[in-house]
Amino acid sequence: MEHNSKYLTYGLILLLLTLSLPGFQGNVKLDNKVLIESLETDSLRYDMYLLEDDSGQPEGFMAEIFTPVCHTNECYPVYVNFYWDLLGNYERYEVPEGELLTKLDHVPFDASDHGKLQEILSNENSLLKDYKIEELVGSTQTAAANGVDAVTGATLKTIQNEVIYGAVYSCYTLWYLARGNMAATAKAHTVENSSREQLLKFLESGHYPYQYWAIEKVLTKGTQKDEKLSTAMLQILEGDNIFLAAHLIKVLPLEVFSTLERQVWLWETLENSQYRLQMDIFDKLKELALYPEIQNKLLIGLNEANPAQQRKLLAALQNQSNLNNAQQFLALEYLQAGKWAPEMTELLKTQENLDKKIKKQLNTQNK
Amino acid sequence: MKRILWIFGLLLGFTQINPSQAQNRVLVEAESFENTGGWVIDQQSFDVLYSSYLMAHGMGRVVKDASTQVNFQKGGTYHMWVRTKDWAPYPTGPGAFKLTINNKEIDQVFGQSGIVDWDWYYAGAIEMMEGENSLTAKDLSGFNGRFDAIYFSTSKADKPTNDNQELLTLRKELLGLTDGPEEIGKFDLVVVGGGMAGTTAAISAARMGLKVALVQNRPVLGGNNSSEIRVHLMGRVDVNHYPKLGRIVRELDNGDPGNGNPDEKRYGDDRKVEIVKAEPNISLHLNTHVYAVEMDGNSIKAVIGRDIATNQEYRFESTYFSDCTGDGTLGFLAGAEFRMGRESKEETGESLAAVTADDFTLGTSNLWASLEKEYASDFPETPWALQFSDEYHIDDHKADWQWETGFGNFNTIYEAEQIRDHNLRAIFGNWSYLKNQKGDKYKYNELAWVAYIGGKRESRRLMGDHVLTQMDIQDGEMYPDGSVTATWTIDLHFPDAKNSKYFEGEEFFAATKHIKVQPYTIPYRCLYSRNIDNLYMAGRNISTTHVAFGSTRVMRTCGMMGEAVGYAAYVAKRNNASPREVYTRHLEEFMSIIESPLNIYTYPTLPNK
Repeated sequence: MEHNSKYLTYGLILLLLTLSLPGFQGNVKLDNKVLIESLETDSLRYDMYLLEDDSGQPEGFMAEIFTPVCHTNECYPVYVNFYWDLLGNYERYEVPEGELLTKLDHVPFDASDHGKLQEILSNENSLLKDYKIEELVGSTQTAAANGVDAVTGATLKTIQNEVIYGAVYSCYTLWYLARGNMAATAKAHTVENSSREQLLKFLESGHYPYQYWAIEKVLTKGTQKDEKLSTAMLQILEGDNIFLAAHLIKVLPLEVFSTLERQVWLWETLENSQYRLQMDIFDKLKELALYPEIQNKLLIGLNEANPAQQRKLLAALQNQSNLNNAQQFLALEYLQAGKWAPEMTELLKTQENLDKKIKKQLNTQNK
Repeated sequence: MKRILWIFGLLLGFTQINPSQAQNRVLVEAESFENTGGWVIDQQSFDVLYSSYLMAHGMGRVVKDASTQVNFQKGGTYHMWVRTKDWAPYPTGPGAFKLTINNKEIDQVFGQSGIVDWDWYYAGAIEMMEGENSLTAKDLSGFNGRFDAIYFSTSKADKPTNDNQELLTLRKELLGLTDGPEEIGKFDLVVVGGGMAGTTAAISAARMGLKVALVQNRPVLGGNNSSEIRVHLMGRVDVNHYPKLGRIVRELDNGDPGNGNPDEKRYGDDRKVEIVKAEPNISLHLNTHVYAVEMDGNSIKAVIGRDIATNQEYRFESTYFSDCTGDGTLGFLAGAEFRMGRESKEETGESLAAVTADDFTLGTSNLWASLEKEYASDFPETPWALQFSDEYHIDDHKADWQWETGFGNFNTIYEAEQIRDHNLRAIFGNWSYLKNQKGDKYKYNELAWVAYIGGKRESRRLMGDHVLTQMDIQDGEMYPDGSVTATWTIDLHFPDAKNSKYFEGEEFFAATKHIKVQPYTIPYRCLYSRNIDNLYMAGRNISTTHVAFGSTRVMRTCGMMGEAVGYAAYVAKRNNASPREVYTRHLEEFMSIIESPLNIYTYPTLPNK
């Protein structure tokens, strides 16, 4: 009894501290967060804010949420703050000071539960989206009662990786909240207020959801002629995200590479790129009208390339019908050395201004 | 003097091209090196290459040298070729290795040509001594460099053929295998394949008194459940319609360590071998790959197996055979009817079948695991592997069943090597990303184990008198010959959607939907070939549709099929009947034994040894 009252006192002090903290910090924070939406229904209550950095630029969104999580006539309150990026992609959650997330029997979440919840909420492809809550709780209870049943075992096991035992309802409710209306509101807010500066910031952000989105915006608006925007896009090709770079090289319009300077830059980038991206850049080269400098690189590059790369180089060369004399003679040299003979013959035949001597030689060869 | 390691040959009369030149030739098979050091023997592509090869599977750590002595009858200048490949030519792979002859290192680095196909690489002219010469293979990376054979000839024009079929002839000639295989004997039942189904088939038949040979192409038994692959046993043995079936599966079951457990002992390789060795009626032949059959009309007369290391050939004659290879290799060699890939809805009437038939199969897993250590460790960058970024990578310290390649992108039999290599490129590329970009989470984790033997899910299905379908399963059809109870869901994997987005056409990560089933019973007629008169089958290659296979394929269920085949072979032998006649004429006898072997016969007395 004595112990309990001691805890009660500590609890009250803690509660007072918690209550006083928002008031204390609120003024500071308020400068960096702008309320954009509030909602209050029977099952959900939240205030949603746009977060700004110190220079007043938008940084992300957060919402202070209250929702009761109910299961078989028993409800417990869940207080949680969610954070999204500027496009409404869920980033993380935090539990407000003084509040707790609990499992069945009111056991509080421990650190590993929090880690797991963060993992679950971050997984946009979670199996949770394929199940109704009744199915989940049913199966988890069955598991508790009967142990893992081999007939349904696989299904159970799959789902168990996607939820926290004893907190299935919370996981489910929060997963849907993280990618529901609030996320949509966040994205809509950014789309409404987007500007050239923001696109540029997005391209340079290193945050791939922003980068994909900004690339699409620039290309649909046709603003790739804007030097700053196109330079920012091209830098992505040199970045660490191989998937983004591969996507970009596929969607970039050919006009971006219409100058000699850009083509030289593209070749240099290719030389420093990862193999898979190199292959994608070769495919791009195939579609371009290339300057002689690059045509040379293709012709000479054949000697060092592996068979798969050679096929790409030869395909790119096949589309070049304006080779100069020196290049035509190099192709002839390869042909006479028995290197890539069918491709070199084809390449020479399709030249608009084929050197007369070469023409003669090809004709005599044919005879 | 080792016959296999050297052959002195005269080319006179051997070929029409160079009739005037006589030359000395020596072929050294990599897998026959006396000391394989840290290199491993890989026979998974035997049905393509007609040979095993050596591979430096060190998970990024250089493996110990492999070495051997080679006897040359004549000393002098020899030209040397090495049959190897660049397994990850993006643009060049990591599988570099060097060779040393009589302690002199050859300059050339092999395995990094940028060319993925196996071929002979010229290694220059080398002075060889008469008598013994030493040969050493030095791994340079620990990343799966490999070689098939080394060839010496006194003529520089004598580069060996690269055609696998022609090369088989040359191998046989130079290895002295032209006199035919060594006779092992005549058996009642020869079981080819020592996975769960093959092992239980052999044990069950042997305990009924049949003389059995069990032929397995790895050094261990258990197949996908062995420590080489580490898939756990699934399917239930406790809800059987005939509860006595499954007892041998229980004996072999070493407990459930999950998939890809880093502790190899948990999979019980020794337990399995000891149980088999305790059977006086079983002649066990590990490391032997069956690659040829002798037919007598529609019956198999004998099978020929080759030792995956020494290349010694063996012949097994038998009254009955059981194809427990998983790939349906024996049935295929014998000309058994088979299917591979998916049937169409129109063909089978199954709601889960594909709209149009195709060659899609479930994939192959190379499981792996890391362990947390007390010290931090590095892992190299792997530019030749699959590449990952913060946008997409698999954020886990070990593999489970989802790590899987195939799905119609590769043929699970003829492209088994490419599938394994693709799995390795996914594993190493992802691990390199985790170690180098997510150090906070992974710096204390070290790769403990990566499988180099692929865990195959699906290949050929041999056709029997009955083809099990989805309807059989879902309607719970109880046929008079229903014998093996199956319980697993219809579990047909497909590429994970996110993995497909980033690796379309080269997916390595799977998803599945489990279609629940009630326990149902597989008819005996799915366990023998409809057109090869003395051929049984057990395991994943029994007679089912692709959809039904999705449920029958798990290993406890496969093990019970093996038990049933053992009993059926006994009934067949006792009545001098074919597998089919066991159904048409002796079904009651067979089903009584399925109910319990003690039902109608007392256990036979063990033969005196």
